[in-house]
Amino acid sequence: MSYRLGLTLIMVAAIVAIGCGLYAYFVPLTGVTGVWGPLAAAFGAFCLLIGGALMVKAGSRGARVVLMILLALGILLTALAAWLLHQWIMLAALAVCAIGWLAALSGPEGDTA
Amino acid sequence: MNTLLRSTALIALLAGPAFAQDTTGDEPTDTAPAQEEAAPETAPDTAPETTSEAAPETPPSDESTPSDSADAETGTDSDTATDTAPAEQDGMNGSGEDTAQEDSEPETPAEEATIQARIPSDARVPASGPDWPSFHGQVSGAKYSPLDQITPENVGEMELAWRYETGDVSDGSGDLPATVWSATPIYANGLLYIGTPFYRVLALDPATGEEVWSFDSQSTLEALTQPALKNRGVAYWEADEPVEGEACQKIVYLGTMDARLFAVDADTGAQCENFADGGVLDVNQWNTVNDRWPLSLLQPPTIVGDHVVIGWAGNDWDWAEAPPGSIFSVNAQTGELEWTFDTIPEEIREKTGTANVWTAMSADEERGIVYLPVASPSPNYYGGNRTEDIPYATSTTALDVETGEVIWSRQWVHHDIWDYDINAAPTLMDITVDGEEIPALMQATKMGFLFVVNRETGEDVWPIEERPVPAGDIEGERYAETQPFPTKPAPLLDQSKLPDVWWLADVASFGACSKLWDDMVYEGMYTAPTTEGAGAGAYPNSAGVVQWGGVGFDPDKQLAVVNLSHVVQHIQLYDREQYEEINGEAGPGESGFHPQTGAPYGMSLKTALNRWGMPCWEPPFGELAAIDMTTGEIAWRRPFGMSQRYGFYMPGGWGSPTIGGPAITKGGLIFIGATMDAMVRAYDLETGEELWSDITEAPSVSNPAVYEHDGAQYVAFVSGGNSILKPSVGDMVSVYRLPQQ
Repeated sequence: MSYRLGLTLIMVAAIVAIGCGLYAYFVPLTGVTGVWGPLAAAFGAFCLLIGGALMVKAGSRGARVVLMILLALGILLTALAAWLLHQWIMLAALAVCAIGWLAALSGPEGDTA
Repeated sequence: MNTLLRSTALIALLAGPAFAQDTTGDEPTDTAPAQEEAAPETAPDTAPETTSEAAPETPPSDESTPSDSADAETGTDSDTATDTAPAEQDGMNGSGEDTAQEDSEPETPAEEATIQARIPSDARVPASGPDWPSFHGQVSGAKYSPLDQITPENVGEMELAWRYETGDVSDGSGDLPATVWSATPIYANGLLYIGTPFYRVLALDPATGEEVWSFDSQSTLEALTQPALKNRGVAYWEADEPVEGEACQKIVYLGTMDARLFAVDADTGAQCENFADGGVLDVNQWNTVNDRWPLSLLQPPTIVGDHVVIGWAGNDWDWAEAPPGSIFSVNAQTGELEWTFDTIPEEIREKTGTANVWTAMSADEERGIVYLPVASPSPNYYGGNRTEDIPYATSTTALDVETGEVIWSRQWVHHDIWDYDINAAPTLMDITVDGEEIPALMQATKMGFLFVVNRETGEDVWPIEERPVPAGDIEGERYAETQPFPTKPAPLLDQSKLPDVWWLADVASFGACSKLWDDMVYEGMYTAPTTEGAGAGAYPNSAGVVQWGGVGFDPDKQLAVVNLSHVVQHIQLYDREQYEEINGEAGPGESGFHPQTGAPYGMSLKTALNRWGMPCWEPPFGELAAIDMTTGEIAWRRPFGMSQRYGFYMPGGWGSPTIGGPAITKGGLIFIGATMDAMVRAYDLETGEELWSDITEAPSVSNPAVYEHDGAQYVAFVSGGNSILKPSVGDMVSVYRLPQQ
């Protein structure tokens, strides 16, 4: 799987996770309606989206390494939040993020450093 | 998985499971009563002519020691005749017209014989029907339905039939106080009746939820005695032989915050003009002593035959002197006062108060007995102003429903200085113990004791022992030397010591929980409130192990079912000068500071949480349990529900504090809400296995109702929330059934 595809997966899944968080917050009877837990999880997913976008633009290897570490932390913590919120679709989306992150480990083509 | 759970918990707990900061109250308060200034708008000026409030010149002792043979509560089967507060002693029942003259006199043998003659000694708790005509399903308090369409095998298929949102809800952010809605729907007369915290009655189609009629009492929406607008539903009565075409042969009753009892026609919702004053009874007219606040009617009255038996709720903790406990029985059709019963001896009524009945009562209609769960007297955490005996305080008291005379009474806490109100209707049950059929009564308590007595006589079924308890050090206070301890069933939790400090909360607070444990004084449940250290540990807490949902009972399987909470609080007293200096405030959920104005000590009550809001004590925080009533042994118990904070669910093994109660069916199921997570659930009655659940709008803090309509079995839950559990309000009725064929 290519680096670019991995980043695409991260960003698309993050968008899905954001949607799940907002849905859980705004729609009645999700069990977490109107409390800040799902908003926090949505914010975590938003950070993943931003991180993915920055990865696309990142020129240096060092920046990519830092971003990859932050993305890993973000995926873990957001997935944990989704699990504790019982938001299973969000959790699945974050699993896809994790797959994307693994794919992105390969680094961009031509980056042999 | 356990490791994962633990590690995730670390993070989740930074959010902290929310335990509402406390509870208690004459009305099981959910938030701190703060309406000190509240007083009836119109002070009553006349007492009812038909009421007698004769009290004994020398009240019977509420204390006993093993050496006190006159009224020793030694708790053995052989001497329970002395361990009750028998009718001969009472004299405090201000009975109705025909008994008024005798109130302060010992009951004559002839009168006693009359009472006994009315009691069929072999009478059993009447079988339940397919309806749900009262708060606990049946006036026996059994919460049992004989319906069996829904079973452990098919309950997983149960689906939503309809939902209804009343619109009567407030989170307190606007002009209105927050709502606390704990109504159990009533199914009777082919309709589903529900009271709301805006003091309306709704009659809904039981199959579809469509509104058939509604009645608006136009009652004040001010929190006059409570921190919230509260309602626990409506009551229903119908004539034995309804007259065709005549109004109000079937009546729905609704109480209000300002002590009015409305009677409306169950068919149309029109006010019953023949009831009291045009369909409204002003119960506050009888609030004549220490009338600092009106007698709020938040719990629907208990209907026994043609008697409407009315208790009331008030404002705890703020005053030493308060309206004294009184129960009123009025005629179901006319509202005419039949009798009153006063729980506090007349000589001391003005210097104390409450010992009221704010929760549901139960009744043995065959025997003509109504059973009162009586609350503690005021002030709740200091008894130096009421050192005299108050035998009916914190008791279960059995009255003749025709006259209001005492048949028997058992005091469950002597000289109560812990606010351990008896807070749930006793559950009547016919049980077989060692081959003997016993007409029994189980009284669940805040203390976690389940007292089981013969409901005819008040005698022990299993021995209830008087055991020594520690004394305190507060000047002017009087301490009971002993308290009653049942030998069976075992206490629902171990009150002899505080639960262990929870390592997770302790680590997260850098040892603050351990320090709090060191600073608390705790010598068992009856540790007296103190000014020392962090105060006295209150375990069980003042909201109680069991709340007003009470105990359900399956008469076939002889199983009793109860939900319970494990919560630690600490009570501290402050002398008046120190209290004024602190100038503390009441907190959410009945925590914080309360003045007990008129007493030499103010007090604070705090839940033992760390700075992150995590409970300092080990889980579980709530459980569901079943007791085999043939042996008194626990059949099973399991953590129940999930604690939740900011939306994050804690692991199920930790359980949740609970408010609400079960409904049990012949189909072998327990239906219950009651937990913080706002879920409603079905459990296998035999095993305790969770079989079904659904999410609702807010915690369902009432008992569910189970009914049959047009051949189908329905289960109805009300989700109204309660700030004791978490700051969540709701206005939703959710009704479930099996898929239609």
